[in-house]
Amino acid sequence: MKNKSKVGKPAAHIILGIWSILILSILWIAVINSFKTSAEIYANILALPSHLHFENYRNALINSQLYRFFFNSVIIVGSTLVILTVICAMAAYVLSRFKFRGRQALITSIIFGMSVPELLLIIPLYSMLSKMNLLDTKFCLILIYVSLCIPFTIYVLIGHYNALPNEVREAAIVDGCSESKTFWKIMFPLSKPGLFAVASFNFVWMWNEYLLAMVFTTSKESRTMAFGMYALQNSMTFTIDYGALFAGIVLMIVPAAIIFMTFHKYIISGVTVGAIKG
Amino acid sequence: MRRLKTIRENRKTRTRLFIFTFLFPAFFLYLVFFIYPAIDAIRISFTDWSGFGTSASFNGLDNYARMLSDEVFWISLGNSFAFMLGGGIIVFALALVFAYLITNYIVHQKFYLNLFYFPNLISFAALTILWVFIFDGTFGVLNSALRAVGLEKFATAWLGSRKTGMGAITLVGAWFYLGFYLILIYSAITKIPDSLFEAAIMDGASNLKIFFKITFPLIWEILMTAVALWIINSLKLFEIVWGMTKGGPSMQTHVMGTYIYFNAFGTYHAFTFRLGYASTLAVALVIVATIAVTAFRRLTARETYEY
Repeated sequence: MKNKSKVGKPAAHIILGIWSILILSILWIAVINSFKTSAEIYANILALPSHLHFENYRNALINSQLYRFFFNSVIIVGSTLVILTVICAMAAYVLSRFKFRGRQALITSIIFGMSVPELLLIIPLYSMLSKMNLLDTKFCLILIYVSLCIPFTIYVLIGHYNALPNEVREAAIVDGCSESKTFWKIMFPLSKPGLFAVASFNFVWMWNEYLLAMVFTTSKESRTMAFGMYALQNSMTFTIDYGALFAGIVLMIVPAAIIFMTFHKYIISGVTVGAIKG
Repeated sequence: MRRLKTIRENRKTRTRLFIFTFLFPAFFLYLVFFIYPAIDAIRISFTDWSGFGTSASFNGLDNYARMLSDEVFWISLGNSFAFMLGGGIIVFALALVFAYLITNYIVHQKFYLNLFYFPNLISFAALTILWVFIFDGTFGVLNSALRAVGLEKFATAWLGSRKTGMGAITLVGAWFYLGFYLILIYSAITKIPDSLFEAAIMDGASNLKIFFKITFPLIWEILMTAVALWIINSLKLFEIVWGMTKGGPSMQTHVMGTYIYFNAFGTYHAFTFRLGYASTLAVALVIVATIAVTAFRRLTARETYEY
């Protein structure tokens, strides 16, 4: 499928360029307004700032405590990804390589789980976790994120373990390696591309997610960045410091951009993995 | 002989133990924090539960009857389907066009794929705030632009009515989700072996003809999986709507997801806690989504091409 036409190429760049502008202009609006005062923003949202008001960033980070929410997000998302990936890799490996009674039932339950929306689970989960006195803690969100991602993650990883050659494992067993040592030393490292792909998909979901964060956390001790932004938007109704709001948005974009540039290789395969969901 | 037997027995027990310990952590959490609440939600949907801490009693099908006569439920259902259809048409039409252009004419293909997917990494919470500033009635970018080019009569409070509000939400949804579905379609196209195109290129077939006669039939199945995925994801839409309108004004832009949340927890300023009824709506969402996907799968089932 190589280009033959002379018109095609510039036309393609123009059409794709228009969509790129649609994406970048939204980010541009966030950046220019993050340096303006509220009055300037009201006057003309598209105008360039007359003076760079860096205090918006201080207000967003310190006064609105976005820095805390950022670290909360890092802790919650980071721990979730580690726990989730490890326990799901273990379960998926066993489901992929061993025949035992109940295996098919477990796989069926996983497929069922992938079609359940989180909206169905929030009320029973809320009452359960309030009885366990876990509401409004980081641990609570980690627990929920891990649990909700389990079916999808296991399902994807079963596919990855099915695709790995069995010879390596057999050789290790013949050499006297125990089953668990074979997994940790050989199969787990071998499945790294699959683990990264599914982890990057789960990362994007968790980083965006604020429905569950909003339901299960209330205080600032455990608030995530996404929910922090949402709460900031709500508090703006009273304080009207739009400059700080835009600064907050930029502060949300920067870590996303850094993560994106570091892991872009895995993100596309992560999306492809996401097609299995549903 | 006996010794050999014990060794074999031992190994069998050890393998069993291994299987159990490896399955336990994930499936324990899955059972307690996923399967159990999912079943419990169905039970709650038949109760009049109206606040954590209060007790609930079964009221049979009352909630379901109430739902069918609830005007806002039908509004939210209609809005969810409008988003699914409108957004779906925009997303898949553009994703197919973009995938065609990228695979045919672009050298640095990953550049566009990454850029179009980028909004997904920023979080709805931040993005919806930006879009509210675009659509705002008094100082929004869209109205300023319309005034600037003399189309003042079209300027309106875009998020202030059901029609324009849902239109705006649909556009933002398409803007946001396009990159994801584009990557799915793009990867499907790049998986087709080159040999299948060579004969057509030799015969001098045009790019467009190749796309419709070869590429399209070969990606059909993945395309349909992607559409099914869109149906499920669009029906449980929550974040974009909650961030932009919270279902307002006067409940006109609720979708199923936000209406469930609204009944369960209310808004930032007023609480509702109609937990029984919210669970009924959530069960209805699962049923609607299942029917929609199954119907879609039935309608589009056809022979697949192996390559």
